[in-house]
Amino acid sequence: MPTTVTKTLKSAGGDYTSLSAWEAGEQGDLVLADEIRQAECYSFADTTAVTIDGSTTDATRYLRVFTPAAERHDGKWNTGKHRVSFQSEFGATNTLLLADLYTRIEGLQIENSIGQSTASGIAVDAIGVFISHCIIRKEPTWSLGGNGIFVRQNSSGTTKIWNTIIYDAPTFGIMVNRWTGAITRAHNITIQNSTIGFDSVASAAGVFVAKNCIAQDNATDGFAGTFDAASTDNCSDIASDAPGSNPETGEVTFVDEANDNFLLDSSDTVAKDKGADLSADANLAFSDDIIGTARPQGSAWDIGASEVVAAGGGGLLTHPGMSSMRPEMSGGMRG
Amino acid sequence: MAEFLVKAIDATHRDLDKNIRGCYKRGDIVLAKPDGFLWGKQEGLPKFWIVKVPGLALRDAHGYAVSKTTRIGEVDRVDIRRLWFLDHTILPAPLFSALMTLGIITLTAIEVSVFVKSKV
Repeated sequence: MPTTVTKTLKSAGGDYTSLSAWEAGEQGDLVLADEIRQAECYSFADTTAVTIDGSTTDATRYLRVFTPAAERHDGKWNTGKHRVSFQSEFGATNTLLLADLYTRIEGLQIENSIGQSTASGIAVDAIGVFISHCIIRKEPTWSLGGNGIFVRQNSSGTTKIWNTIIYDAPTFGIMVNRWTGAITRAHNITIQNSTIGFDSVASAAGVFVAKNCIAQDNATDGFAGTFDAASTDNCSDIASDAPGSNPETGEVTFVDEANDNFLLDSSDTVAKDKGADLSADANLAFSDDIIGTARPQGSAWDIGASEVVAAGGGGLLTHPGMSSMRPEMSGGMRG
Repeated sequence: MAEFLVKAIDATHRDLDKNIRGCYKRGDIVLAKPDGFLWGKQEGLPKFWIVKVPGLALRDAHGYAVSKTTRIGEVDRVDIRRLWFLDHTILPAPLFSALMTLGIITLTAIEVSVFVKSKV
């Protein structure tokens, strides 16, 4: 059983003052050390781009970046919580570049503020990456910026993304280069206001599976390219666009779209109670939403990153300080 | 007007490509922050040195904390984790001693041009 080594990221009084410094300081052979090394991110604006590369990692000894419950967003961009907000002047093209195997990103707010159309909030260059409970957006005062998440890793392995909201990314919300052997699983994602919401690029013969995903207000297409036949219960505001079985078409009602609150509104009739139950999914199982609300609240799972809380009830699956996804305990993560 | 966070120990990887592309090496300029920045508890010896450069503008200092990259299509591939490094081996003895024992030194802008070198 590996040892978990936790370092705090704070603007003052913590172990590190940026993710970039944490990564530089914690680089090493985690397999030899038999450690999980994690960055516990507190409420401040981290203005340094981060490349996670150079460590020796595997499926059980990896790097993890997360926010504890008290420091995490509430489903809407929150300037009072931890966020990575980088504006590029010196060559970085991604706010986060993940090049170490099995890196986990959980609960972050990431602004893509880079003046290149190929830039990404998160670029994935390694297998086994998990991204969950995040909000990714283009920084609102900049005219340029690129993708939300760019999965470009070209090895046999899986990338898993769930319970995440991406908005205002001018180019792509999630773009996947489908290299042979590479599998990307996107479950309960909400993408709003990109050019293409979910872009499956046929670089070779890889796989992109989308389940319970919403694509809305994307200028050219909600779901572009080929998605795996296992895709299901996706929703687009463009007719005949949502891939897989049980597609939904229509305009989803968010809590406050004009003010960038993309949590699902209780009045919604398009995505609410229309999703597939993924609690026992063979490849990416979980039971909560982006802010830890237990799924389902109604008669079925909601499509998208958030679950509408049942009137008079609800309740968080996540205990403070704990991840809602505990693959070591649940046994629900496979693939 | 700026301070450098400099890696004080090598990181290594058995994959030779990842070792160069991903691992920080001793002397690498990791990042730059403004004068008087409050560094974290781990941002010092033994993992890091702090190099104060009051005569260097922060914008210029950022230019030292960059990777060597090659544009391939639409992607900037990292070739070397950090392009610039502090050559601590040529520091005058007092500076070298302070770096090794205290982990903090101050360089003038001219000294930066002498002691901070490019790997290419």
